[in-house]
Amino acid sequence: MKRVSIAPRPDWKTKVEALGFDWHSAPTDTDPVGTYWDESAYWELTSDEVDTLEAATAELHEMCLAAADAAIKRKLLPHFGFDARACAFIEESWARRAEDQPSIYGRFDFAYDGKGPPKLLEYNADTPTGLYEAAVVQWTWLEERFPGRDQFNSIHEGLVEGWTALRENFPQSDTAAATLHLTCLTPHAEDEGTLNYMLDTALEGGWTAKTIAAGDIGWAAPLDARGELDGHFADLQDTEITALFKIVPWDWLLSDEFGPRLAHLVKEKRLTVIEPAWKMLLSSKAMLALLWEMYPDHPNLLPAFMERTAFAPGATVVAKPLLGREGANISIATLGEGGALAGAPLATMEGPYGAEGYVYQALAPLAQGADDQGQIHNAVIGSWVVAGQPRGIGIREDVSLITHNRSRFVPHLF
Amino acid sequence: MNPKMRKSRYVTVLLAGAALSALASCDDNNVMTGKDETLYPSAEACAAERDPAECQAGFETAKAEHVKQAPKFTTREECEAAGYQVCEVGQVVNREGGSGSFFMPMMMGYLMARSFGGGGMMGGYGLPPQGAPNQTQNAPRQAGTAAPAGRPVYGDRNGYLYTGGSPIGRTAPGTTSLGSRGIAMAPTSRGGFGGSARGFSGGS
Repeated sequence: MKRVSIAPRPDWKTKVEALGFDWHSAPTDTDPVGTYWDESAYWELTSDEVDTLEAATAELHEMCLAAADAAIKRKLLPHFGFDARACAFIEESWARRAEDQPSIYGRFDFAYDGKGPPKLLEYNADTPTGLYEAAVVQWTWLEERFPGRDQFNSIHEGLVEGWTALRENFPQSDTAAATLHLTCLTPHAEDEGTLNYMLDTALEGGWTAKTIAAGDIGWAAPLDARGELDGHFADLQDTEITALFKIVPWDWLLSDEFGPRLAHLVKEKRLTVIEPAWKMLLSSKAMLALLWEMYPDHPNLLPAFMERTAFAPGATVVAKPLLGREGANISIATLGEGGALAGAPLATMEGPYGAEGYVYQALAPLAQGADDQGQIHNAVIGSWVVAGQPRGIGIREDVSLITHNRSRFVPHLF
Repeated sequence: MNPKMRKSRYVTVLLAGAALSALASCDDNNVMTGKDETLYPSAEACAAERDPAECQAGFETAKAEHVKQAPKFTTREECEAAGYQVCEVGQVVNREGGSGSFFMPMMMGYLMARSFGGGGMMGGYGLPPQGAPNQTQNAPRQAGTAAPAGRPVYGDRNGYLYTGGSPIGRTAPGTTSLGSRGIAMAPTSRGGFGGSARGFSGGS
């Protein structure tokens, strides 16, 4: 893992915008440039490091599935941050996962500096993002700048293969030819761009597919409706939605007005949602504590507990809200006696999460590299699982210890 | 390329690169939603509520459209096996005078817009159904209004009702008749997703 500075392509903006990547910058009042896609550097890995990341990803994915199974058997879901209704819904989704609850992708985040083994920070199993940057933008960067070099990135091929397999195994319905609808919240350049890319890969995988804004999804009641759950979701042409890919977290969908209807249709097997509801379980950071309990001292895991009193005084730990996203509400602190804070937190991030509870994880060193001005950048490796297989990585960088939604995406090669 | 390479051999960027604003709008959400439409099982049922000539013209338009739109099968068994509750025979006559038959789901009723506004096309359909060339001859025209048109409706054994291949609603499975009265279509409600967004990305 080595950070290499390089002059960006002079016309990089035009080139990435031609790909539809129009969220390459996120200017704010305090940062008018707001660089998000940053090709003033790249990370160079060794072939062995790529092998290590690939093996860790495959093994952790299996471990997470085993832990999900254990969580349900031991009835631990209430500790994962979900209410009773969501727990029952997740349990049923898990029971039917091989039947009609298919998954296409997920992303592990690793702390990995190439010295010790990769350490799992979290599993973004429900709504992983940074997909287009990893699958397409860094690939086109490599092909232009270093066409002879390699990249741990067959994410695109994995998605197409995944959609193809899903299409072939999709339960056929009497009522509509299998059309895949894809949805996200709007307006949101990044989510919409990612959704359009997913649409591309689904079309290439053989689906009939169309996008719809989440707010445009309609509820069509039958002529003789018996109760408010009687009906189906419809697109703007009033075609019934039977397969839905969504970049909206399950916990948000369930708490929306249409949430009970969504859960009902999934239970009735009239609607297949991708990612499926059981991915909520893998996404909850309570999983980190369960993994550590089931696989203590596993080389790819960090000590993690639901109670910070479990750490010895002097430990530096990261508090993570169970259902948090994009670094929100994460704080880093050194603990004193009985889990109390020793001094001020080393870093904190604001956000809307935390009421659902926290998990506490030991702090791991991130890969670090300096730019030409001597500024140190911390890197987190996002490792993609596509259709159950490790398929590549995308690297996010920040000068802060906490990676968040404005942390930069930096390409890699090996 | 070296087959041992770990990078994609290709990527495709079709729509993602097309700078679509496909998600942006729901301005057209009245099109084909069934809003302001009534489903009539027959021209008689329609005539009980509104102008009989209008009803008859709508029925004939729908019937002609039904023959064009409905899925066709060579035998009744195939039609029923495809899930349709009741199948009927249709005749085709070719230019040389020969004829043949086919099977298709029976037209269970037809949709009529509830009222005809002044000017323009009715009910938000946008366009009159294709293949209704006799419409202007058959239908009485009122000054400033569009000719009445009907949209054919057929059903499958699960109770789903279709027009032009798109599901428009559902009645009890096994329904073979829509009764004797018009049924106001339940409008599609939207906006039930997105309330929890809190201004954050859905990604993580």
